[in-house]
Amino acid sequence: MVGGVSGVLQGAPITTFDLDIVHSRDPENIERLIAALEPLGARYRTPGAKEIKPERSHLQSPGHQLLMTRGGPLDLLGTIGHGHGYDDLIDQTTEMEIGKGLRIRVLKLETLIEVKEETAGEKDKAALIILRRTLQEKTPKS
Amino acid sequence: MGRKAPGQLPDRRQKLSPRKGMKKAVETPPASRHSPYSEDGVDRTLVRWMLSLSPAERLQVLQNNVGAILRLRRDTTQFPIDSADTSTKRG
Repeated sequence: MVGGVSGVLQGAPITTFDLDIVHSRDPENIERLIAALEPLGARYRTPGAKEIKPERSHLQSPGHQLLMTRGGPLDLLGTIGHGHGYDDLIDQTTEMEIGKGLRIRVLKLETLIEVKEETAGEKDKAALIILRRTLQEKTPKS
Repeated sequence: MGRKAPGQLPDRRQKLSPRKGMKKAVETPPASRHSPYSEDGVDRTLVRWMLSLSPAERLQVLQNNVGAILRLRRDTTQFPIDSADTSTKRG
């Protein structure tokens, strides 16, 4: 998990509406993703494509698949920042328990800030200020 | 100059200025030392509060916020403020 929700899980007081995930683009994982998206009723949320289901070829690309599901907006990101994919980022994650034995991998706050800084738009710039302050408060003072 | 025009608010500057013999108001502490806000405007108390929660509790805070915003958006759509009681304002 990356993006705003990963920031919140690490203590950043921000509000976001979508869940951002950088997924492994291995063929086996793509199959698992397709199976998981089906019961969620995932469709593209871009105008003119609202009836289109995400397909294997879409999920294999490094691009961003902006979906709407029954659980809310879900962004499946092949890469983020300047082309960082799952394999580049997995070592920069931390595992977190978010209840009932559910454990997820979350991009570390330091790396989240670095990646957002690479391609920061206006929305990201506002969040970056809060993320940096959160990291500062988290970091033990020597 | 000295007379107050009808409907004009009284000039309170004289009342607020310190009178002879009065103690000067206590100066507020420097913002950098005591303000809850960082120099770039982030509420540090909010950050510390979030950090005091578990990840599951933080997620619950986010879900509550999103739920509140969506409810507000829905209610605003159902009962738009602009259309409320416009009969008295028109004509």
